Amino acid sequence: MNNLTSSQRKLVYFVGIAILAVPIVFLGRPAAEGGQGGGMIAQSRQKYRLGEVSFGEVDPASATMNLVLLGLRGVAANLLWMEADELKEKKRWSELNSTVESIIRLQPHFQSVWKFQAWNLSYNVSAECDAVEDRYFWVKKGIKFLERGVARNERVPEMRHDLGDFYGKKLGRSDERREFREFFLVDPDTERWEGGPDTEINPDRLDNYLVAKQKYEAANEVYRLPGVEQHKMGEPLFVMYPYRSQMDYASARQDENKFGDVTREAWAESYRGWTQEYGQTDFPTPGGVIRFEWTHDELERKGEEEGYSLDFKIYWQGRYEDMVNYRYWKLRASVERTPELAAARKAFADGRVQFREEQDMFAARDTFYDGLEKLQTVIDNPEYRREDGSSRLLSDEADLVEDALKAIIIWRHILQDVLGQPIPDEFPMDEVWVDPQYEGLRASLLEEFQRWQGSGI
Amino acid sequence: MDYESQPYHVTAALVEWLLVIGAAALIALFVGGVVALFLAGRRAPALVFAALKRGFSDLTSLSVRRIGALARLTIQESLSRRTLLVLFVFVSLFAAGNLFLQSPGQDMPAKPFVSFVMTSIRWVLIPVALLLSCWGLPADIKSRSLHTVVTKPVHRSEIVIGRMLGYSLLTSFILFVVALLGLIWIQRVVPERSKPQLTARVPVYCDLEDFFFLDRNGQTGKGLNVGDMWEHRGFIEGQTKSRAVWIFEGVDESYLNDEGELRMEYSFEAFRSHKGRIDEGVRFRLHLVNEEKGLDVPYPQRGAGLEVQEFSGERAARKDQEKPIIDIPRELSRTVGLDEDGSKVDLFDDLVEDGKLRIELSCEDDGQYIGAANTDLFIRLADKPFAVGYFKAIFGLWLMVVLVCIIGTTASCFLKGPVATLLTFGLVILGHPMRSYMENQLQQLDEKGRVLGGGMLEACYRLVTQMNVQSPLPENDATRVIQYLDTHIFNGLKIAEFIIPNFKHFDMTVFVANGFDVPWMDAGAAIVPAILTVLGYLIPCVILGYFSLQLRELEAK
Repeated sequence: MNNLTSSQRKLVYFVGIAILAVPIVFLGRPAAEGGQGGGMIAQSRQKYRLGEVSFGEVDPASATMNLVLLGLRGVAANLLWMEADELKEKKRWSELNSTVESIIRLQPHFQSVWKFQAWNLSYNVSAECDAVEDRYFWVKKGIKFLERGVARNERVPEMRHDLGDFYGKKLGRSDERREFREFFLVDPDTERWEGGPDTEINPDRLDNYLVAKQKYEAANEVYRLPGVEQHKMGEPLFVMYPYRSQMDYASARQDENKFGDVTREAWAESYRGWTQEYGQTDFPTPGGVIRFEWTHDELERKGEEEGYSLDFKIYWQGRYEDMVNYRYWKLRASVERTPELAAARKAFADGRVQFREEQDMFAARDTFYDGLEKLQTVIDNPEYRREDGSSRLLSDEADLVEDALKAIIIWRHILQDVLGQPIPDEFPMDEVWVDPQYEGLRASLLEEFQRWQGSGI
Repeated sequence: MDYESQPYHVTAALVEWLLVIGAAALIALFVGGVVALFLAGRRAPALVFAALKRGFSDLTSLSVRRIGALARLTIQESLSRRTLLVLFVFVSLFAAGNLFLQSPGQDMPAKPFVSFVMTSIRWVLIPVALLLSCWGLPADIKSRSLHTVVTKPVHRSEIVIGRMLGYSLLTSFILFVVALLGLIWIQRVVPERSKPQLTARVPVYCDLEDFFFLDRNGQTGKGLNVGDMWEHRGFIEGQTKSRAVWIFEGVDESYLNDEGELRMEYSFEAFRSHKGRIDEGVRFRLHLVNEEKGLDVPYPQRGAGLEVQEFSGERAARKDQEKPIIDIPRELSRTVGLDEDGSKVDLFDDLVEDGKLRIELSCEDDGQYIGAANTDLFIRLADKPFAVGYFKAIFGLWLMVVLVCIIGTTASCFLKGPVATLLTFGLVILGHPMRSYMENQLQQLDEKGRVLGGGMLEACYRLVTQMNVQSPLPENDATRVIQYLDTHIFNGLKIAEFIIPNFKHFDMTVFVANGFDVPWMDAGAAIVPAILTVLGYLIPCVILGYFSLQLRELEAK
């Protein structure tokens, strides 16, 4: 070799390169449109869904960055993560946002990046701000960031589920939920969104829980695709979320003193979805496939097909029902959709306004009494009574008991302390008032009432 | 803006520079003398003296014309290497800028756009300056074209200076073009709503030593830590005597704006220990205090106080959003507590004492906290156009590039191209990204007597044994040896701290990106320290380059 001239050596290098290139080109031939054909590497990529296209939306800048950095993508990503940490520590939010953008250029299909940084923006950065409008701004930033992550990772159901959590739990359950839910419909940046919602996250002007429901439904759709798995939570829990979001929507309306037909319809839809869709979903268990709404006869028939005894099937059905508290939510949705309960809840809310704000004690007394009567009607409904005559609602619905006790406390206070009238021996819902099992709850609610004179309950 | 204003003492810097230069000269003389002694025996002193004499003559009888010609030659040579192609890199970067600044929308503040331009310029121009200056002389020596130059009647000192000047002029031209492009790009891409952030606010800060806290009993103390890792801000407790205190010096009527008010701006941070009223911000009040006259005039004088407007530069402002600005009128009502007694006080006649204005911050909400640092409250003078701050920051970058050219050219006088590049690059890295780390290590050593995780050898030991930085080392002789050696390595690092250029003086991005004018004088990034740093390296580098080139065997390839 040493005897070769410079030109000869270059010729040898060129021939060597050409020889090595042949198998590389052969193995790495790109696939044709639609992922068909191509070399062995392209075929394997297609088979195991590792190609850029199969993950979701392709980001050309991301692919370019990876090429430009050659083998240093990992190093660059590490440096950016460290920088992001420092920027967060030093509360330089806009630069943190830019750094996070650079990180996802390098790691577009690493779902933890999307989740971690979206969480960072929505939960951590927003919590650092004092103005609730600023907090909402950063919550939105995180949501928008995760939306983009979902677009680039279409076959990852967990990310869609996380998105549902952001829309539902972050906006609907944080301390600022009242403001956040309002902002979701009327963005505080009125100049930009012209008095409407931020259409980048709420194009259809829906309630946040209904948008969350859509996201959870999309997660379920992806989850049902062949070859897709999720490792976030048990299957019955994962699949449950769209239906629970519908209930959260209805419940949130009640919390906001909205008791009209829309709320009742929302509960009716909750009941329908819970029993007719979720309750009719197949769940594989160690005792074979079960559905929550299957009767014992249906379970027995299925057990015969699968070779399991009825008891075994009932055991697993019950265990899965307990996991998601199926019976409770079914009962809750069932009773909340009734006009009587809606009317009772409305009466309690109106009574509180008359007592606290309007100071109209006579009207408040009558309204509370009316509400208690309506609640009694619901409790007395045979549909919600057990065979031994006990009320399923009172034993399962702790919130209902608490609402009844609060109403009785205020009603009794108005009668006895304000109007100086005697309290009758019998009154609607008195079974709750005298029941020894609620003695502790009654005492604590009384104490709370005395402390705040009605403001706390 | 996470920045601590600290005074820069020119005299102290000059004294330190003279000491370092003197020490370096003595060491060089000693080493040169010893080498001469080995090579020339008894003739050594005469040879050393002759070399010094010739050096003094060459370095003091410089010809501007010859230096200019050499600089022109350097530029022509660099242009023939297609240096200007680097401009296309910038055009591509700016074109692709939006890819790195996704979701610009109208919410994006101006800061990331400005930072992007400044960072791009810095990290593309440094390699250009580095490669040009480090490879020019070695390439000439290799191709023997330098022979043509040295045979002409030019001093070698002029060759060194000519090279430095040539590279600096060329990179200056590139920088100027790129800076203009960058400014146009910023003006075009910054969202309309964030355009007001493109300004150059002129702040008057109080000195770090004139900022302190009063604790909940009104005694001088420390600001509370509310759980932040970053201890930049101290927090004061609401509805107690706890206060943050700023004493501004040199306050006079020239600080008033056109409306006759003293404009102040703040960047306080709120921390809640309970929810409070979610739809209202945590409130604060400023107190203008003259202790000698027993005056404590609150501002605002009525109402529950001002709501903290946090992180105003971190997003585009909403239309209805209040700005973190307080305009204090010259005439205020005298108060007893928060009740006015009917008489008036004058800001300058009654509250400013010997040019000093004492302002105290109190948190008005019980159980809530407000955080502040010394730069979180400043007197805001009339704003300057954004271009003023931007070009001052570009000037800082230019000084940095010039310094790289100076160091690179000097290194290339005694090293071959690759090694010179490595040395200069190493100095740049140590002088900028690693500088804070090095200073932090030495500060720990000074304050605590040891560094978390130990020195170089201890760190190696911990790495190999996978031991975390908190665990104590085993007590044995090996540990004592490691710690002894590490102490001396740290002593070396202390010396290195004086020699490695402090590139932090040149990075003025933080000001311009946050909409501030670049200060002339500050211990951090500022114009005067940046100029002095370049001059401080120029003189020894020219001397070192000259003697290196003088002694270098130009026949060697």
